[in-house]
Amino acid sequence: MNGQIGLLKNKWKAGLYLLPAVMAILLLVGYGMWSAVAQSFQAIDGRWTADSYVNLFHNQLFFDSILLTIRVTTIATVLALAIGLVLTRLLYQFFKDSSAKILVWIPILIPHFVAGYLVFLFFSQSGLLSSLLFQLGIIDDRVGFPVIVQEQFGIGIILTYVWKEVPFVILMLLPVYYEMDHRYSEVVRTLGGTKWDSFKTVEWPWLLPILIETGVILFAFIASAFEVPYLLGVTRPEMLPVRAYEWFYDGDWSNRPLAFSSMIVPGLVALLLAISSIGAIQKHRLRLVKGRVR
Amino acid sequence: MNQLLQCNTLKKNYSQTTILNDVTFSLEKGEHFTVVGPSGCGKTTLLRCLAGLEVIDGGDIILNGKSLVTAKPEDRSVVLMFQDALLFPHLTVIENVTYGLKRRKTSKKDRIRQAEEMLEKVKLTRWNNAYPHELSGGQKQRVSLARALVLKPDLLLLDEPFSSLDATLRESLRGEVRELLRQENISSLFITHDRDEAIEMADRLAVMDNGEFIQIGLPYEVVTNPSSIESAMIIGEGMALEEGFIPLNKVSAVNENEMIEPNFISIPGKVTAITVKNNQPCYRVSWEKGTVLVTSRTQLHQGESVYLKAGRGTIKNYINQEKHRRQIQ
Repeated sequence: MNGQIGLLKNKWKAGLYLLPAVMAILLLVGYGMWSAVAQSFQAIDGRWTADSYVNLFHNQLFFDSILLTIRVTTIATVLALAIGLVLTRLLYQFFKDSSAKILVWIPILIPHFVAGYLVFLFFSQSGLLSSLLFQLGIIDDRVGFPVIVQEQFGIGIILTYVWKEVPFVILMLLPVYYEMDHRYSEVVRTLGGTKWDSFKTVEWPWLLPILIETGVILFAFIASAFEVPYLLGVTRPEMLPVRAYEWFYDGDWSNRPLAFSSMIVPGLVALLLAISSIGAIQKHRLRLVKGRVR
Repeated sequence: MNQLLQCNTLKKNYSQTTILNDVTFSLEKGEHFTVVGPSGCGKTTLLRCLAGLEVIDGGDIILNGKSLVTAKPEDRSVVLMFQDALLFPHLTVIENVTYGLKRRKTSKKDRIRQAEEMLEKVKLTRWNNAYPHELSGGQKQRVSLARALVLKPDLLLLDEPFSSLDATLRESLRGEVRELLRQENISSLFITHDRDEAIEMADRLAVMDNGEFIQIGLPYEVVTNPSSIESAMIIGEGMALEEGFIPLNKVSAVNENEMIEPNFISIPGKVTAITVKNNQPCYRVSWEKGTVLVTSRTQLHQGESVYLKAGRGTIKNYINQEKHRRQIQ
């Protein structure tokens, strides 16, 4: 009984300590979100209406944007996770050295718009790489260099996000490898399993929850970030945040509710995705520690 | 018996440190070989080399006439049981036991049958669908043993598998494991730093120190006739002196005021504990190089200063005494 009371007191204390941070988030982010939701349901004359959502789902620009957003985001997320996983698996011993860890930190410290600009400088047709190839005589003309940035498939955007997010994936996965009991891999080997069996049985179950969590974070971030697609994308189709920005700053104010609803719909999808994946991850983690999930 | 394993001048170094130094021994089919030695003497490294988890720096390992030096761990008919059970926490008991069989492409029906038979042998029939966290320490080690034995390896390597269990459980499991290994006719190489465990598990015993085997023989021989002072200190049941070894049954404790005849040697000590063995009071006496459990004709008290006494004629010379002397010089 005393123990329970003590636990309750500790919970209250923890809640109290967290209150300033929670209040700041609720006031700043919460107010912004509430304001966006409210404005998405308001017509230009102040009427409450769901017209913006109806219009959104009849708008071809929205569908073109969302398709591009899903494609670019999925490819960038999957590539970042895969490359991050392979690099972590190969180099986690090397990353124990703090100076090696700094190498991973560097891309994280660079802002996304700077990373986008660097990709533009390197990979555009008038960029450093095309100049180098031209100087070396590998291409006859700079125009012969393939169009990687500001093209409709979003290759430049994907490149930027992969470069920026791989270190984030590595930093998320490193603790898993450091805390993993590597004797289990040896058990697998002595029971006749290959290195691949060892990866599937020992490493993958622990990696999966972190990969899902990291994937959800990356997906939500890439799908809603503005600077990189604005810098490296094309006019049509554009990624959803750019489309929302254009509706917001359009000369026609009647499109403003569309700007809000076009961000709220994917926001809700991302939220549902996060909630359901967190539930699945918790079950998976419990299974790892305790076996059966009751 | 036929030869199963031959290790010739095994060498293993970690950077500049020699861990295994020309370890040579052989093992017959069905034999249970135990290696005893202090922590850090290279026992575990030896097992890891045999299992293929470490690459050796010299020598050869021949199993069933074939060299294992370049063989991967999964290609050796050798299974290693670790100090901890290391059951996969997300798999049930039956899934853990069938794990190796699945890797060897045994059909599902066969692997379930074999696993169930093995679980019956380790007395865990009703626990097929339990998860490791639902088992006690002893049950976990039994599952680990079943997981290893179900593969019917030519050689089972046991790396102090009972060290994490309490004394009573350890004792009962030792007997069970030994019996099971005999039933299954599986050869074993058992390593431990526990003297009693080493003696009980061994058909043949090797004493290891500083990466070398310093004595190999039958348990009784090794215990009663240690070949060197090092061996005596690790495994000998008695007192290891510079001039030789005195078996424990020749030593007794006497009050420090008691007269000691000239043909007896006396070594000062102190009673640290009093116990009963075979319905007789016994005294644990600490002396310069350790402790011994001895009897006494007179009643002694805890904390009392005493002499450990033995006839000069009972001192057995070390077989390798010359070598030992050379080393000291």
